[in-house]
Amino acid sequence: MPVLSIEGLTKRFGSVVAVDGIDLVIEEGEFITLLGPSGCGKTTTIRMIGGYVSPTSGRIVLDGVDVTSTPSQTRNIGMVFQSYALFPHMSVGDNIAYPLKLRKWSRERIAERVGEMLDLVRLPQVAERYPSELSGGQQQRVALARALSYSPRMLLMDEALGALDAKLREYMQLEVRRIQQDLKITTVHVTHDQDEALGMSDRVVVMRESQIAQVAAPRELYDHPSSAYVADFVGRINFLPARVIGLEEGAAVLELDVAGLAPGSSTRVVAAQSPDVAIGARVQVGIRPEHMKLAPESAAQNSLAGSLRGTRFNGALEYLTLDIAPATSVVVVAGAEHSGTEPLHVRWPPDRVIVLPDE
Amino acid sequence: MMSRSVWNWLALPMVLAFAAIFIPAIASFVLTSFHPSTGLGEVGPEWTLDNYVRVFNDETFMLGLARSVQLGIFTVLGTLILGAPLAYFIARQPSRFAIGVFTLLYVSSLTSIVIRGLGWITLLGNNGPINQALMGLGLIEAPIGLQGNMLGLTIAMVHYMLPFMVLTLLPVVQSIPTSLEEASAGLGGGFVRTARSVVIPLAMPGIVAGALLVFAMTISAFVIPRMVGGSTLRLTSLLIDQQMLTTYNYALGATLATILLALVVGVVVLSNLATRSRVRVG
Repeated sequence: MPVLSIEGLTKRFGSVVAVDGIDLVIEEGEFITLLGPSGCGKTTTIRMIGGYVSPTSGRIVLDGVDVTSTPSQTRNIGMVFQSYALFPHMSVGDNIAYPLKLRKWSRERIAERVGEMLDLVRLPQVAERYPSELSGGQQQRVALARALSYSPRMLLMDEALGALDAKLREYMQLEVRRIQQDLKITTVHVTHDQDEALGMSDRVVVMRESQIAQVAAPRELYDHPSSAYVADFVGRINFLPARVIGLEEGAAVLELDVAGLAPGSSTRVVAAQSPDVAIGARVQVGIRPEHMKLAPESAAQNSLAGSLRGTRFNGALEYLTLDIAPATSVVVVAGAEHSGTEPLHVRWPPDRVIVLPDE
Repeated sequence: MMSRSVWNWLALPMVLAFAAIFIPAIASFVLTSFHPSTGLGEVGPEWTLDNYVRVFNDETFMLGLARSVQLGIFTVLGTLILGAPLAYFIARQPSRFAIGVFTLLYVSSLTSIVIRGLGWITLLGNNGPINQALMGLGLIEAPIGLQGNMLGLTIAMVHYMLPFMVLTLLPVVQSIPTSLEEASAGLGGGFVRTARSVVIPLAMPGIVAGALLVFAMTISAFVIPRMVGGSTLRLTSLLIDQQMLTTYNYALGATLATILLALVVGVVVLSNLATRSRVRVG
């Protein structure tokens, strides 16, 4: 039985539809991330799961029990808020003990559990301190310890890593994942950061304009996005308009529809897999920058030529922007520095071509 | 960022203005209280504690002080009980209704105190709407006296002071993030528990400030006690008026005023000590 199932969940604020009839089933121990730009409805969704916002329609079923109208105080779901929401007038120990006192635990058991939780988040020795005396990362851990201290059925995290600086955020991604796997707690996390979503989750739910665009494991999402929107939101990708001219055994032959391609380019693209498209259909050909390889010369297919417009070095990779036509450019990853005005050739394998319906 | 000393210098003109106006006035009545009265608004040059001895041994003065303090305490309690939920409601539900309630409250605080006193005289009368309503509901058989007693006076004072309490509490409640209440609920806390453990402790600086303001204004209030309490309730403020303007015993009037001042200062100091040790807000 799934831990949580969401059926036709909808929330309207006046005339604005924040969440529009989404369905989602979450299994025991899964780490699910809701990913999307701001305003896509991901925060409203997690707040409905936690009981902080009541749905306009739809159902939320926890362990087979309809909890749609159960208040958050009896829903037994832990939540880490974006602002952490630590009680500023209570010490760290009292913050973590708060849910335990409400559950009438004995003094000894509370003291023991507070110690265990602080060990779990690797912050021993801070029980006596106040939240304002801790750094952002430490506050984040305390908020996590508090949300987990009473062994809730599920954990929710609302952009909980968003306020940390980049390095700490990466470290906390690993920490949160370690703790989640130690406790095997079913978790729903909300973020707009694709690195965070891909790096931490068992499955990612990409949201777009109040609806779910795609639900998939991180690698599946990256390699087989179901729409140009998902392909663009998750990672970088070059899109080129094309038309289907041949189909055989799942593979597709496509003709690029780009005006004024540079000499040496091939208009023919072969894709190893393609979605359900008909011959003559307009599609978008998507190729990720790291799959476009510089080559000494052009080829009859899956090959473009272009002049270097600019380079961007991010420390690990060199990104080249090539003008392949007067109004079209692609970004490719290069192994080394490049400069000059010589035309460059790039090639890519058919199994790295993502064919997406035209939007 | 300007340094602290620069800010201190900027505050200087205001501090000087206050000092120039209030220190001579306060000093003059505090000093007067230590001289003997020679009648008709005059005091003798010698120093004495006789005025204090007389006040503390006089039943009328002590009863007046006790009633003033009692009125102050009950008015603080009344404005807190009515004002705290109202401030919370206005802060958390900025709906049209809440704004309407707030506007009514605000406008009523701008109405002349004399008009409000007259209003309460009518409302509290034996044939007034309050007694009529209670009798109509069968809760009482005969009119309960509300005029010229502490109950009626406290009701009127609570009404008069309520806007001060709400206006003091409102920004403090607004400064408490809603997410703290949501966190408390998510961790299993009900409404009462959240109020007791989260909202009230965090609002404590505002509660203390509001209580001090209401207490200080109430024990020195004159117009409402004079109009609603009548001549039978001889509160300290009325006794001071009597000493100053009827019997011309300036020394005794000044003594009573000094005692009221000491009471207010004492309460402020005590509450500062109490909140400094207990409330800790990051």
